Amino acid sequence: MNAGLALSRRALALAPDDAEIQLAHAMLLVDVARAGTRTALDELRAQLPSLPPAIRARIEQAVDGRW
Amino acid sequence: MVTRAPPISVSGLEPSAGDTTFAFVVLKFRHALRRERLIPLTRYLAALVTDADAVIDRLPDTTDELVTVAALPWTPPQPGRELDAQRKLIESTSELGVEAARFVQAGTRTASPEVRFPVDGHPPASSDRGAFGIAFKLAGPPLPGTRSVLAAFHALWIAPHRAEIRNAAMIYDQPHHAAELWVEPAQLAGDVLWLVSNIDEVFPIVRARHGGPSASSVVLGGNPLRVAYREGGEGAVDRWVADQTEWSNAEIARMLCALARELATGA
Repeated sequence: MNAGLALSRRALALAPDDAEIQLAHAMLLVDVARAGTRTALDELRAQLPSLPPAIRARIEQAVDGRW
Repeated sequence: MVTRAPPISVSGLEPSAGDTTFAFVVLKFRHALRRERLIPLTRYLAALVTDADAVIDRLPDTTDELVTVAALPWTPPQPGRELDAQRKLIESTSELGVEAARFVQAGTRTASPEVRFPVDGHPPASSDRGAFGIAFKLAGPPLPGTRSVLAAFHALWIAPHRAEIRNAAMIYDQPHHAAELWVEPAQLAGDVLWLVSNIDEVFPIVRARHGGPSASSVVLGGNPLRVAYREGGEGAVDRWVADQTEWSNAEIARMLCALARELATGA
C-alpha cells in the first residue's frame, strides 16, 4: 500500500492540477486509511480544501463521514 | 538545370486479395498542403481511387486545413497490366509532392502478425462480451491529417463485421499523439494486431495496450513503468522518467497512478 502511495505522490507532483490524478491519489489515500494507516487520512484531510468540489464530493462519499 | 523529385516509397501495392470490402491508400506528403489540393490529386489518381468523383464531391473546396497525410479509397488491381499501371501512376506522384504511399486492403489480414513494439496485456484475456480494442502511443509530433487516416484504419478493421457491430469508436488524443480503437462485441477484435502492424507502417508506434474503452481524458498507449518497477523498484521508475522523451507528464502521471493502484490492490 505504501509503495503504491509513493508512486501516486510522484504522479501528483508531475501533474498537480490534473483532476483525474488528484482523484486517483485521493481514492488511494482512502483505501490506505481503510487498511489502518491513520496518517493517510491526515494527508487526505490536509489536501481536501485545495481540491475541486466534484472531487471533494467523491471523497466525502467514499469516506462516508468516518474522518 | 532540372531537379528531379526524390523517389516515392511505395508499400503494400499488391493485387486484389480475398475480402475486398475495404481498401485504401495513405499518402504522405513532403510538405503540408491545404486539403483542397487533394482534389486535383484525386482526379490525377482516378485509375486507382475508388469512385474518385464521389471522393472529390466530399472534399471541401475551400479550407485552411492542412494535411501531411491523407487516406483515399483504393481499388486493388488485378495482377499484371493493371498492377503495373497503378505502380507507374503512384510513382509519378513524387513530382506532385507525395513522399510515401502505403496501400492497405482488408483481404491481407492475418490473425497474429509480429509487431515491432511492445503490447501490454498481450495475449488479451479471451472474452466475447463487452467492448475490446487497443490503445497506442505514436512516435514523434502529430502530423496534420492523422485523425482522418486513423479513422480509415478503424473503418478497415470493422468493415467485415459491420452487420454484427453493436458499437465502435476511434478516439485520437491529438495533444498526446495517441489513439484508442475499439469495437463491441469483443469477439470481433481478433485481428487487432494486424491492424496496428499496418498503422505502424504509416505512423510508427512506440507502445500499445489491449483493453476496452477508457474513461480517461488522456489516451494512454501502454505502461512501460510496470516493467521498470518490476526490474528495479522506485529507483528504476525515477530513472525511466528522467531518461524518456516520448511521453508527457500527463501520461506518466497516469502510468504512475495505474501502477500505484496495482501495488495497493495486489493486482
